[in-house]
Amino acid sequence: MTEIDDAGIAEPLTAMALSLDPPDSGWLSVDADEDRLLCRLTTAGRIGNDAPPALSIQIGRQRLGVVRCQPVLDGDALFAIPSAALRSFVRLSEHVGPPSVRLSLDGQPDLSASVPVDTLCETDSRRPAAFYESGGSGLKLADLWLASDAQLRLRFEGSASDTGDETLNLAAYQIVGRTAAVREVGRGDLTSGSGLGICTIGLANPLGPVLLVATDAELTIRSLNIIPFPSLLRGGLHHWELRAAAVAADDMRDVANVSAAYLSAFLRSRHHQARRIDAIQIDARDAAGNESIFTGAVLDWLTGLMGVAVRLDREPADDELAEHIASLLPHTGEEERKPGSSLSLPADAIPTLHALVSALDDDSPKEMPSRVDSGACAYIVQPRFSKGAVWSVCMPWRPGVMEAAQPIGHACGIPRLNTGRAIPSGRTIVRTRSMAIRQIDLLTMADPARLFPMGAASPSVLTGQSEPFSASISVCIALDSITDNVAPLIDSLRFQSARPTEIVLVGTASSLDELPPTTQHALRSAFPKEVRYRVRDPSATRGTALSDAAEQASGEVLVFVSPSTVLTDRRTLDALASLATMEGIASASAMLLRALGDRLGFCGAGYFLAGLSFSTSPALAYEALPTDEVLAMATYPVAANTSLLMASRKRVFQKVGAFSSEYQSTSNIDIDFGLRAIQAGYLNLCSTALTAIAGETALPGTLDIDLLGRFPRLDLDRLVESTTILRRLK
Amino acid sequence: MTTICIVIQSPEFVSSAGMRIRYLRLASAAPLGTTITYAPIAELLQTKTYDAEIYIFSKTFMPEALILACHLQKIGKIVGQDFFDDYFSQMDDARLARFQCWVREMEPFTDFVLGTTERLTSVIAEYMPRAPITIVPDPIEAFDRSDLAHRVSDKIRTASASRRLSIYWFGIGDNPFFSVGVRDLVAYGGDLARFKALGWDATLTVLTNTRALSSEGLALLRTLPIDFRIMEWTEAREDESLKAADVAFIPVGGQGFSRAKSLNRCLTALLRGCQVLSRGYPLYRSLGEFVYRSADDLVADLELGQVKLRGSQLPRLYELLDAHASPAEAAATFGSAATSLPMRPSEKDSSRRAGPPLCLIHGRNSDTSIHKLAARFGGLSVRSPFHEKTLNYQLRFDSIGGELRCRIEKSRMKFLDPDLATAAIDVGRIMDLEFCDLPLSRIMGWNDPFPLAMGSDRFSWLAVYPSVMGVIRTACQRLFPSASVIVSEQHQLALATMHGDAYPRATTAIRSGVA
Repeated sequence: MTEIDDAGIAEPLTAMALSLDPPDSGWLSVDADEDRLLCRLTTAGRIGNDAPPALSIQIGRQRLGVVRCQPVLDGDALFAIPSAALRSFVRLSEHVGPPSVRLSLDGQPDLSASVPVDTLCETDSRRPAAFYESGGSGLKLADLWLASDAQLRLRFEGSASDTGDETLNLAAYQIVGRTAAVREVGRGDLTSGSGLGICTIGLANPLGPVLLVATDAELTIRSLNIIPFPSLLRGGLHHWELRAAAVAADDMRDVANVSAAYLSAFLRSRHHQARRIDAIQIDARDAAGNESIFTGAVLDWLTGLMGVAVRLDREPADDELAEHIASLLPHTGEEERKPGSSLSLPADAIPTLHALVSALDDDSPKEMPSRVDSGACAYIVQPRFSKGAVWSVCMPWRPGVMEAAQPIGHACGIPRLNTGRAIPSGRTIVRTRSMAIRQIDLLTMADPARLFPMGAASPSVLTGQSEPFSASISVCIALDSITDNVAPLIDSLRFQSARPTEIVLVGTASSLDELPPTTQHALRSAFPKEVRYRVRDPSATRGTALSDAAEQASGEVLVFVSPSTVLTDRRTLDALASLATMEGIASASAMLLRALGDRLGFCGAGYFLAGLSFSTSPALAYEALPTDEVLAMATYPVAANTSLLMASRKRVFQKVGAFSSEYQSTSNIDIDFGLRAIQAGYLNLCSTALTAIAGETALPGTLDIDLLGRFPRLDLDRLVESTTILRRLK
Repeated sequence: MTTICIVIQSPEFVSSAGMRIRYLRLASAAPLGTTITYAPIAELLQTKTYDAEIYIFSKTFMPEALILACHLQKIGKIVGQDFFDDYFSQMDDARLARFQCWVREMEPFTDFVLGTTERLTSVIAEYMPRAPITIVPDPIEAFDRSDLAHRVSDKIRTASASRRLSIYWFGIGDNPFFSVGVRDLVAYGGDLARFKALGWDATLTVLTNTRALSSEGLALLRTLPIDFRIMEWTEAREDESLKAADVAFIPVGGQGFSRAKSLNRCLTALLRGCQVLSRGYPLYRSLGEFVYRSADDLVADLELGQVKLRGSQLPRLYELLDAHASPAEAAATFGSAATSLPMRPSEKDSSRRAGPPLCLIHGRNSDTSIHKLAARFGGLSVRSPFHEKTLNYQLRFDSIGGELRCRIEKSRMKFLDPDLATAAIDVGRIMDLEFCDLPLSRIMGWNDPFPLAMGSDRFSWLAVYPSVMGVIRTACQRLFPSASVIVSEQHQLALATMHGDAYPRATTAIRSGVA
């Protein structure tokens, strides 16, 4: 037998303190099968014959209880200790140094021995202990959840009170802090005080593994269970990742299965150091220090048991706040560069369990969690302090382009993985599971007015390039009616920071002189030399009219604007042109707001793929989703942008093939163009850091576009991999 | 004898924490020769006599305050501003634009500025760079040292004997703009579980306003890892509760609003004999000798009988109080900051040429009462094309025929530059008054008219709002050089668009260089 060190260095000795090393191991032999430690008390260990011997089990310095001997064989006493939970608990603690498991003959403290990790863990069960499994107590755990960060609540079926007068005690043990110290953190009585079958016990850390031990009045261990990841339970920080993964998160059995699979994956991932996420880099520019990731519980768990380094990538501008936040993180000094990958997070996010237990780019067995895809950003957005929808976001992330497209002056709110390796150019539909959970405060997020531009002082500016946009911009406007008044739009164009080079109008009037006087006046006074007018065939579709305007335009960048749109943010043309001229971008647009009574409300910010529809003919369904909540202050790829306000580089626009002439509705024209752009390998970007006001005809809620007729060879993989996928989880 | 009058927003403000914690304490400690009084702004707008020499505006974020300040300055009074909340450093939330625009509007009428903390004054200095700024901390209230000593020792003895702690969180639990109050309590409440884990029986009492106890607020509190009860906050209950409490739990978030707060809550708790446990941003660093940062440290000291606030340490506490919150010191600083400025002569006595004292430009949302107020103080009521009320303005900027036009009521022509007056064209009656059209391009020095088409859409005007208001402001200044120009605007989005654009010291953070 090999001794292992007891890492419970700072704990006071209990009354049941055992003898010190070296133990006399000649009195006991220990073997292991898949789920049990089989201990045989040799003759040397038989002391007295008055009572059946009992074996005391201790982990770290905590005595869990005793195991009674089975019928004596050949003069030896045999003990069968259920070991799956113990094994998992010990192995989960490997990063901080596994606690020892000691056995001693009850009442004979001189006879004790440590169980070597090798023995305890020599059978590498694919299915570690799952907490719903019934022990030998006659109890069955029916449900459990976190009542608070410090309270685990359990409901049992067939409670102790049903089994006569027997009283069972339930004790919880956790690794505390960033060492391997095991402590009893909570204890509950199943027969009194907490009601029939319900027991509440304390926790030291709502993320750390919990070893649950049920003992009877004689301290005989009746069951040993482990909750490897309590944060997956209802009320836990990671609970929503189950829902995002379509796990029936209210069913304890499913949660237990996922926990077991994660545990197994986590243990395996230790053998793939280069493929693990071993560091988290926090962009703390918008941090306040009260975010979950800065709490002791999360940091202890991450840097201790999970073995992940946590660092600040960007600090808040305020020195004192930066110093305070830095002081919250564990001081690690000069760290050795680890071979794994890092996860970049905003301060309001925590990593998902899935991300931490998965191996990257690993051909894991099928029962393991799916790989983390380094080419996409997937995360969950969850209100932290209020009710509200929880969203799952999956966003393609193209390094270089996507960083440059984000608003400056803010932390990048999009969690992303840095593998240090080239992104695989997989052509399979993204299977990415969430890598992080953002906890936003809807108090300050849900009001679109909050995102309204704050004059020139607003720091929320898009910057794709270091210099102001200087190339030529043609504004293309298709007039639907001879009475369209574009004067407000023209006024708003007049005050743009990037002045349009030309304004190309296409309308059914025979000349500019037939337009409403206010429109004529606005155009002639604000852009006396820059206006070009084209007569439009009254039967031509809007797509044809816009394409005609584009054809006539001489600017490097085309900005399509509806007559009813008004550019309230003076940086709109500049920012959209900058986005549109980035490499690989087909179109760029902004968040559209519209009047809802006396208030401004969210109108739309890009089209999102909603699913396949077979209601009539096969079709792709699209929605305009409320990204002001879920993607506030961010730039993200969409399936399509609306031509109510859209910028495109002229040569890209032409390469994609201009707007279709086949559709009448604006949304179909938009989606058709967006899909063709994606087919050609481009992205369509939309940003909530820019706002404009749309007229009443803005994006409808849902629309379909014929899939097979228009796109007989539509590459669905590419479509999905080029589009942000949003899913409401409740 | 110098009288300083605190201008407050309403009679109800008298019962607010700001009044109670700050002005009443300062008033009771005012230095000889200085009297500190207060008056609601509505009262001051109605009076004909202004007896105080110095007027300090406190949390009066309304256009009426701008008009009053302008008037007070013109009649020779010294005008100051006092700030104790930071609505000014978070520049990316359009909902805060109204506070920020108000401060910018108030800047020309401000002779000096007071603020409770160093951080807050440094924020305000960005808005008011010309006025001298002085830090006047919130002073402590009078207290009996002997009572405090007895209370501290009693609490320590009782708690140690029973191993039982009563913990209090107190304060306003909600805020429409910032994640504070019970959110801070919940964010940092995890530490409260440590007491039980360390073998101490602890219960929490949440003493807060009922508005914070919405279903969401209650749901948040339910997640606290400690047994708690809720009590509605009153001043008396706070006093009584803290006197009975062992520990005051005061978590502080790191956002700008919280970082600019004063030491008041911590001092309130200490002076009632509470040990203070403050998690989060180290706001109370200067009182660090008496502030616990973790439950573990507090329990360790309790076990040793060596808590931070104990009888033998009280002299040191008094030293710190003298250094950071002495009422006499604060009142003296307050008085000297206000009275050290030379009194200015009333403009009646000066030789400046006649004309209206102010031009009040009505933005999108501006009440009729403001229009009347401008008239009461002899000012011109100026219509912008965004103001949709029908009032007898004396100066109008209208959108007519696709361009911005300027019209003045005939009786005001006498104040104009004679050359400009001769260029005026009679346009007849608008409402009850006779008007003349003035050439805006000439006023502004342009070759062409200013094109402007007001759309019918409810919000399309926002795109042109800052530029048009900038033009109107400049035109008013050129027409009436001796007049102060004030914008009356309460439309949140209009203020957001104007923010940073319509003021001379706009911080241009954007790369495209728009200013």
